[in-house]
Amino acid sequence: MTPACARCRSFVADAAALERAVPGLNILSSAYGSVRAHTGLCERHGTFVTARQRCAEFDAGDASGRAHPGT
Amino acid sequence: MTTKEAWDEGGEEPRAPEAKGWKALYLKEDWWAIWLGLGLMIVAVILFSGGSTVLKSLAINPGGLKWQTFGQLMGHFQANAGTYLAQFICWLVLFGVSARIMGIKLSEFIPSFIVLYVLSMVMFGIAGWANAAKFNLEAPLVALVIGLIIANVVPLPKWLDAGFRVEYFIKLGIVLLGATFPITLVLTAGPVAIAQATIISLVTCLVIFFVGTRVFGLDKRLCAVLGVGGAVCGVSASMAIAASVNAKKEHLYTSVTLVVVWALVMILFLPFVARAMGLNAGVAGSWIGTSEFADAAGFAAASTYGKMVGNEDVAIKAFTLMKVIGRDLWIGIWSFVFALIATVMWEKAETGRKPEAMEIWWRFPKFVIGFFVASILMTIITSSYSAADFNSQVRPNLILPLVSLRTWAFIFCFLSIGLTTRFRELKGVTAKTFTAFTLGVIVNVILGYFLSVHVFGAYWSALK
Repeated sequence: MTPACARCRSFVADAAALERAVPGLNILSSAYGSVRAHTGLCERHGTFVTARQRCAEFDAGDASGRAHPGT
Repeated sequence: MTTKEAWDEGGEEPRAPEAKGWKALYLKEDWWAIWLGLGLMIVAVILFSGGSTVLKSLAINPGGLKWQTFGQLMGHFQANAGTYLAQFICWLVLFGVSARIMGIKLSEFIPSFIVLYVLSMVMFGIAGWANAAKFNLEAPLVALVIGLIIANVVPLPKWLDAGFRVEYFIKLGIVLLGATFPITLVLTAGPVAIAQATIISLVTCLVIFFVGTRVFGLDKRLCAVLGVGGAVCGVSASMAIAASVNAKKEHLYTSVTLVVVWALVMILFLPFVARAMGLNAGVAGSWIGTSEFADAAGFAAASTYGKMVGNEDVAIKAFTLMKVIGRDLWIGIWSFVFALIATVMWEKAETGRKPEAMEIWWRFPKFVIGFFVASILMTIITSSYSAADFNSQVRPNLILPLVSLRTWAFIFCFLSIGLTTRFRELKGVTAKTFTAFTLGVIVNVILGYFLSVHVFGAYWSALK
């Protein structure tokens, strides 16, 4: 079983990066809000995933510090 | 503990970060809205109890000035320059410190907030003109329209968005609203609001989803994102669902475009239609609460209508009951339901994802807790005063300053909506996608009107 997406280098959970990735996200919403919870963007697949998901294309790379559930 | 460490400690099976997420208490804007809102309320109560009028002075705004000549307005600003400066510093420190802790650069936030504060004073100034009402120059509308013009005509640098935090401001405003919202009203009118919100949420979501998938053959993940966005809480709900169903980035981008465009249309459309129909402020507030997608946009519309008919308080109360208490609570439920559908019915590959009921809590809009706490605390605190004392002491020295601070937060929000809406940045959508979402909007508006006016009209029109 591969590690969770939260540890993958393709997982973007930084709030500012998410707001840059989806233009207009900050108009009537926010990546800093509670409802996002542990949602992040998988740069490899271009899909939204939760930090706990897994996939066969997990890429450890230098993943430390990428996942940041609080933001 | 870092996320990585949290994962490691849990072994192979990662723990959900939000379940252990004490960091959320200082990294999420919902919690900051609670800390600031309750903090301001507690300071206000302490100062009031000690006989101080500091907060009353600091909560100044020129919105109720009713100036006749420009000289009167300038005279007001000159006479109160020191107070406005002190107020600005207070806001800057509160928002600046919290924004920095959440990871926003102060070098971007501070200049942005200065622009926002100065523009807000201009908005209040316009709304405080004696003839403003004759020309429909309601502060929310003026702030929104001027913000839109600036954002789409003046080439503002993108980094200025750092201080235009629409959601943060509206969440703080809602917590402050709780301080002036009797909990008894929530308890008596809440069930009606939740019943109406349940009907609206289910019908709108299902209309968009089934029209999109069955009639137009659109991607089911896209339709789930759009359906919940239209039914519950706009882009925030769409973002929550996007992860539940593994939607593509483009799906959320499409939702952003449709929600923003329709939300703006609703802000400009609903108050004027409601006025043409002569709707009671409570009924109109409820209708707006069922028909607007986002809290920020809805408050702009409800506040505008309330000012139009001279009963802003009731319009905002009805809207809050309907939208914040009724509809927003559905975000987590829909996230869980769609995660269940996606994993059980849609997915063939193993993703390691298991739908969890805790999703309902993780995605719960936490600022609503602040609204309830503020409401309960203030109801208890003020319950010991007689009606006469409440009107002569509590209302002018405690409640109205909090209302003024809330009004500032709302103006920051309404301006920020306009200032961050750059139409050129929105995504083009296909005719099918637009039609599916628009049909949901039409059903939502008609059903919302029917429920607010004919089914639950007696409740909403009795709201005080």
